[in-house]
Amino acid sequence: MFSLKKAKKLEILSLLYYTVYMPFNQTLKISKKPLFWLSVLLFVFLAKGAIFSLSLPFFQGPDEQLHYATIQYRAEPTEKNWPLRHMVRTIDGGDISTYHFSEETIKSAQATQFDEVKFQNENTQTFTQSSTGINEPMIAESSWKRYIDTYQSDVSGTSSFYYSFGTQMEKLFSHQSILFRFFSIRLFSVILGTLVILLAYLTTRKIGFSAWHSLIVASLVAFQPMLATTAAQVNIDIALIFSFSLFIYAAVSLLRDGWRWSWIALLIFSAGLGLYSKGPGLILIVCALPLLIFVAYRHFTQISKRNFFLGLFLAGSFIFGLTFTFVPASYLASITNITATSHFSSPSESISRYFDKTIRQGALRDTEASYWGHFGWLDTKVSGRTIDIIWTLEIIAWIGAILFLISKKQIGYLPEKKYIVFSVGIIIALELAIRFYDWRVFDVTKQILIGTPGRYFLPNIIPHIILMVTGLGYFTRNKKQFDTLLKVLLILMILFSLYAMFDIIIPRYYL
Amino acid sequence: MNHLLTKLNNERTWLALLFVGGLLWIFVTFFSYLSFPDSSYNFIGTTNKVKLDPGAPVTQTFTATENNLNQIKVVFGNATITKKETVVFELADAACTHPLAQNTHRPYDSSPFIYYRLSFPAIPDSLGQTYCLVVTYFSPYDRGSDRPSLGASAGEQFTGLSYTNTGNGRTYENRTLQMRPSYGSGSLYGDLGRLNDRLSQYKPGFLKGPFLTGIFALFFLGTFALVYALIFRKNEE
Repeated sequence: MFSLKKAKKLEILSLLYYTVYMPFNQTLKISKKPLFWLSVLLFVFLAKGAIFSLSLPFFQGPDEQLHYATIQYRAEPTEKNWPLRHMVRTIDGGDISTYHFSEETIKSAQATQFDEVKFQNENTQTFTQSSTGINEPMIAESSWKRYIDTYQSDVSGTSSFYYSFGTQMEKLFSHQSILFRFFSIRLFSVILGTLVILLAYLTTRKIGFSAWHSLIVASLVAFQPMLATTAAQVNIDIALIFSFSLFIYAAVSLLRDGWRWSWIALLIFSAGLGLYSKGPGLILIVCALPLLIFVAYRHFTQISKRNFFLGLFLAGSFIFGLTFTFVPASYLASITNITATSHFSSPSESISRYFDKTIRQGALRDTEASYWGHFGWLDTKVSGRTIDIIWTLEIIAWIGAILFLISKKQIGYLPEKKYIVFSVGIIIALELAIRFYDWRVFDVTKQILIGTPGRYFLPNIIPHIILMVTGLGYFTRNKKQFDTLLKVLLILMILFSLYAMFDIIIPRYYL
Repeated sequence: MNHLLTKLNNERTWLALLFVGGLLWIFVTFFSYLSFPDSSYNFIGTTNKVKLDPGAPVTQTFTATENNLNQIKVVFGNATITKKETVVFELADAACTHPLAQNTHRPYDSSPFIYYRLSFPAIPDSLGQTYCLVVTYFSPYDRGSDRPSLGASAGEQFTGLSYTNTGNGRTYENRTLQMRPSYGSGSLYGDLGRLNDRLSQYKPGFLKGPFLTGIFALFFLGTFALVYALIFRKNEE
């Protein structure tokens, strides 16, 4: 016979069983699902982003002082009720005080030895024996002016949604120190980067990779160290990377599902977002058109060819009309330099001189190296041997991708060829856009002022990794081998990321 | 033996070996860097290269500002040397005569990352003591201006310092080799704590001290879990 006491004991035991064992059991089941690991991956990327963002000292990301000053300028009251001085701009790149920024931006940069540390990898900040920097209390308690009182200001004239969000954050945390505000905006970049990883997963799923393979491809993107650092800085680059990633997701969705208004809306939205991120975003508008034509052509089969092309012409004219109506002419003139006078006798001379200077092994190698690992002000570099290994793998992958495209065989575990053609297309489009802009500046100045640092090509990191994985995958014989290949690539990428963090960035700035 | 071969044939085993081997290499390198250089000065102003002449040491004395001196970081350029060449880095007494520690840079050593690091067991009572850095290049070849070099800086902040190049017999006053004496904390735990402090400087409160340690811990936990889940699961058929 059960006594009341025994019955209560049993009740407690069963309650314990259901509260402890069952959730554990459920957790075990969940842990076998790719979506659970996707959430782990996103969490790891957030943590990694936070580490990268705190590993780079204040303003030590490329042009961070300019981007932060722009955000701060846009957070200023509309009515400038303080005395303004108008001075001739005489910028010395090695002296932050010559920039027309706010007093707070300049003094904080000086207090953290910005000019000494930038570009000079044998120099570091002066450290104390505690967790508080020598000038940290001065920065935290400062009453330096947060507005620009010297004009013409040196802030960026680019319109970017990144600046809009940053400005809101600057206002929201206006009661906090500049360190708090600045690092909060860096963390906003990390969040944008995390969304890129999510889009990498969704894109690879969409083009036909299995859930686990998609997770590995998304992890390859997540552990690419240059993406992680770009997503840990105050810079509009990450906004462009996000816009491209969204565009690519919408594009492959259209290619897979055909004409759907939801995907078309997302495609147009992401192209618009790209335009409202950074100059090269314009290329998304250019890429959207042929893509829409292709999808429409396949969808509207019942319409006669004549009517189709007539409609196309009208739609194209409408889009171009809209672009030229809403995008300021000055913006188009500034990115094409169309009104400037060339230094050369003919466009062909200008182009051939430009190619002589940029399409050389050394220049291409610099782009490649800075795509994978030139951190900070590009002075913190991973070893050349590592880049050689990556370059070799990439060449093999490109050969594989080309063979895959020209071969007649369809490999079940690799994406359909149309996605690879799209990936190649968007990579070429961005490449042409960046080089076109670089050439236009060269044409006018006779100097390579913009250059082609690798991070400019990061907006295409998702199609690039997909292309690499597919190209290398072409040489595998079955899904099992492909699976093993992906695992090896992931191990190498994680190790590369840890190497960049612990053997390059931390020693450069702190040891 | 068969058991070992079977294990090695197992994909998971060699993937694990690749990952753990890579991790070991990364962290052995990291811990070899884990020493805290004197950061009270930077190399700003005029800089130049001190070309090393075969068999002729370049020397500079310095006074340690802390205990546990365990490394000297030196800017070492054109470090790619060929067969039969070596560059010897020595820590010597104040008179630059008796070596206390020595490292040799050989042809197949990788180029140093920013600084060459002369490492040696920590000297517990180094504070206030004067030591000498001696760098000697040995080569049977005449490489002309392509010889390895050391970085040097001049400027107000280096007033009173000097280095000697025995190759040309000159002592360069108010100049310094681009070098930093570097110190440990006496224990690995202390070193990691000191690194945490350095990383925390000029950061907002939510990225400082224990929060920073927590972020690193979560990152490692998440990464290792991810590696386990993605890499050591069964292959898709």
